Amino acid sequence: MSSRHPLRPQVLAAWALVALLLAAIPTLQGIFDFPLYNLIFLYLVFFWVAQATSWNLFSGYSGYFSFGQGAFFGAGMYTTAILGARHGWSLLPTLPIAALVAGTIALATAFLVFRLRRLSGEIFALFTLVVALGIGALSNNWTAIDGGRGIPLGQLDYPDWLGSTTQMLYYVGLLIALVAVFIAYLIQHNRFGAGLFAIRDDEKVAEAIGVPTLRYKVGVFALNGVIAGISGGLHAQQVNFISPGSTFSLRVPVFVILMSVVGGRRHWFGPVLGAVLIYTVTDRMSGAGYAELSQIVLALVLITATLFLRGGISTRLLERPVPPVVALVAVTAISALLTDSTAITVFAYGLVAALVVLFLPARVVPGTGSGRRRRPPGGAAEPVLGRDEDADVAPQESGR
Amino acid sequence: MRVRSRWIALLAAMSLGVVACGGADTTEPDAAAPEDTAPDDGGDDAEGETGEDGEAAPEPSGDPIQIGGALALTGPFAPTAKIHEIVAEQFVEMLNEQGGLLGRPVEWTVLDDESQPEQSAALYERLITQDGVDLVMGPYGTGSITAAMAVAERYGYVFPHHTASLTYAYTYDKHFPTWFVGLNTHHTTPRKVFEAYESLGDDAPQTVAFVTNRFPGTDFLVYGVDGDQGALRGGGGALRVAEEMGLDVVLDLSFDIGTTDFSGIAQRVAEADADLLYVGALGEDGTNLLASLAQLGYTPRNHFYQWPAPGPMLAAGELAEGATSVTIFEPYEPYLSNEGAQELVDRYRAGAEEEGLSYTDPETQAGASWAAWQVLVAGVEGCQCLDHDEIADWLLNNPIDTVQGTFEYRADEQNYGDDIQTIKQIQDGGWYVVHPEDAASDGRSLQAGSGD
Repeated sequence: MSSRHPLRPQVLAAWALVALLLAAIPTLQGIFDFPLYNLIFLYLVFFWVAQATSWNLFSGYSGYFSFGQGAFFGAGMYTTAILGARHGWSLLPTLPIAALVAGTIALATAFLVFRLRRLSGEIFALFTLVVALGIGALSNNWTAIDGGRGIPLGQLDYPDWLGSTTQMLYYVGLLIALVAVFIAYLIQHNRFGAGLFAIRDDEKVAEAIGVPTLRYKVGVFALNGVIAGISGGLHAQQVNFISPGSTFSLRVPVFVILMSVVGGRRHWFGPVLGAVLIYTVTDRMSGAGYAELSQIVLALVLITATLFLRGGISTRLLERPVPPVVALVAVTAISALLTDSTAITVFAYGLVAALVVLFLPARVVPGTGSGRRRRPPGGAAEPVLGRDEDADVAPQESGR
Repeated sequence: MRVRSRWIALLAAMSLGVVACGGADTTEPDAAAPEDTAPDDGGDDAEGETGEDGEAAPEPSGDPIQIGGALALTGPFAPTAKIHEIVAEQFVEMLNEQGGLLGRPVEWTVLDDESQPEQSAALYERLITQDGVDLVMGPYGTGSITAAMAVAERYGYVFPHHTASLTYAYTYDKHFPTWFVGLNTHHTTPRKVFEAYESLGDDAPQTVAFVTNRFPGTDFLVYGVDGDQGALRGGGGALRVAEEMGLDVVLDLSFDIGTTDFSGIAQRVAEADADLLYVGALGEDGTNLLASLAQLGYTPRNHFYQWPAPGPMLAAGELAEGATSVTIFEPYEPYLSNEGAQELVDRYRAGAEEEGLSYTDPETQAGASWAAWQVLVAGVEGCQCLDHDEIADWLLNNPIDTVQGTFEYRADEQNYGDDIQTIKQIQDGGWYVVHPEDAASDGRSLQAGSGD
């Protein structure tokens, strides 16, 4: 195993450590009695991490812009709701079925659209939106799915050893998110990922050098559906009331795109960063009575990130990691000392401070020297088919 | 050294900026009371603080009782949720003027669920597990209420709610509905409507056309449920009830939530030309449909609307004359004799005018909302405690006087009581209760329409 192998022991140990630390949090909550909401908040972060990562696997890595996330997420939710509420299934067995249903929808869509070459660019994006809206309309009118009535879920059964409902959601949500992110990490660092990046850079060239583009696109689109579906299936228990109007709204597709674009689409860690940042800020602002303002703030962050952080937060973070991390830690600590706010709120202050530091030009941020540039995420570990881009050069969009 | 001092300066400036901009978390349990819910210190409103014997109500003291809830402050349900927000503000203000709850001041925290059930569930989790509120009040809208109720059940909180319509789904033993329609509302509500029209004798409708919004509540009321579910009667729904009562169903048409162009639907309604048009819809669907019908030159002979926006219906003028709906509260007798009704009317009108609402009379929405607060307060005052088991126990075993009348919750009916709805109709440009006879206002009765 080479020193740069993605599954080298140090890397695996780091993944295991993160997993163990996160898995220990419910136990620590029980011991130290910190607010239970912290677990719920973290579950919701895991949910968005899984959703954003699944979208990014396809759209971020391959460059095809999809609005189909709502269809996969909604299919997962409805699968769990129908099996659980109408047929008495316990929660966990519904999840692989939710993944299967959403994956099948994705697979069918992929076979259709990728065989028709005219469905590319904006047309592809519109087509995925139509698929999502079509499934929403179907569920709204077909009583076998919903028929417009909505499905109250109630409390589905699950194994007692998973603890309270909140703990169960936390553990299962964590597992789904970790697996999704680990898959994104592996794909980025293997031949499959290199092929997807090549498709993103120039599909015709990728084909010419032997990348099986159709197989890769269909495979990763199906994977997008599987992860979104299983995550949606679990989320049905959190929401408790599933109706077509809210399930198939544009909220989920728009949020995952926002999270991935702000976080960075060329790196497995980008959607994780984006999900943590955007969900935390949204949650704090909504909780403080600024739900509408939070949408405006997010729009501004998106515009600013698009203009000044090409490649997203993850790119800039890799270029100069110390200043934002120091800002995060320092502002969080100072806020905790000076204010009477909750842990999540002070963390949000720290995140905002780190974000500001990330946006600042290199010349005004102490400790960044002349702003040394590193290779971009997505191409950082391994050059993609011989290409090596500068981080501040906009990743080449193929217009798909 | 120079680098270090730049770092310190930068971090200090940033910290101060962030902390100053952010301020304290406004949802902390010990946060200061918002101005509009703080106990009044006298002035022009001193009258409200004075008891019947002329003595001032005691000033509430001690730690505030925190009551939390969410409402659709933004999103498609925001216009109607505004009514519930005004009621909550007015009720809490009144409560504090009258000595608070258990002698303690009351603080009301409302969060925005953006008209999304998913948000609603997360916000009630937050209110209960982070903010540690003592009590909760249900949100607005069937989806949001159903989602929030599951959270309340998870933590054993008493859950008063005012507008949820999926009666069959609410099996939580500590939920207390105040839209007092009975458990089998999919039978009793349409039966009441058709019985009212039956009272027209020779003018009674023989045919009916259904137009239904694909909204969970309206769907349930028109199409009922399949099979028995718990204490609920199976089947039902206005469609089947109409057939059972001998009406001929000549049209059954559904439309999606968010529909604003009713021209195609209006064409079908005009072609069906039923004696009675039954609109299973909510908000401004009714007025939009009426406008489209008017464009075709068609006026329905008799027309019923499940949950219309009352102001826009009145504003529609001649188009809406003769329209009927169900109600549980109107700002006149016999409702004004109910507990707290005059207080609701006076305070709501003031609040609605202040907010610039075009229709400032309280009716079903405001009545249900005020009653929910009355139920919550009755439970707490009844058991003299904030223990949710004891509050629920008290509410299940005592009659509760509200603006809608006296509630008696029955545990064997999933905490529903009798259906106390009445039928109202627009006559001479105003809403009047017309059925049943003993509830009718000013001796009014249902009027048959002539239509085209």
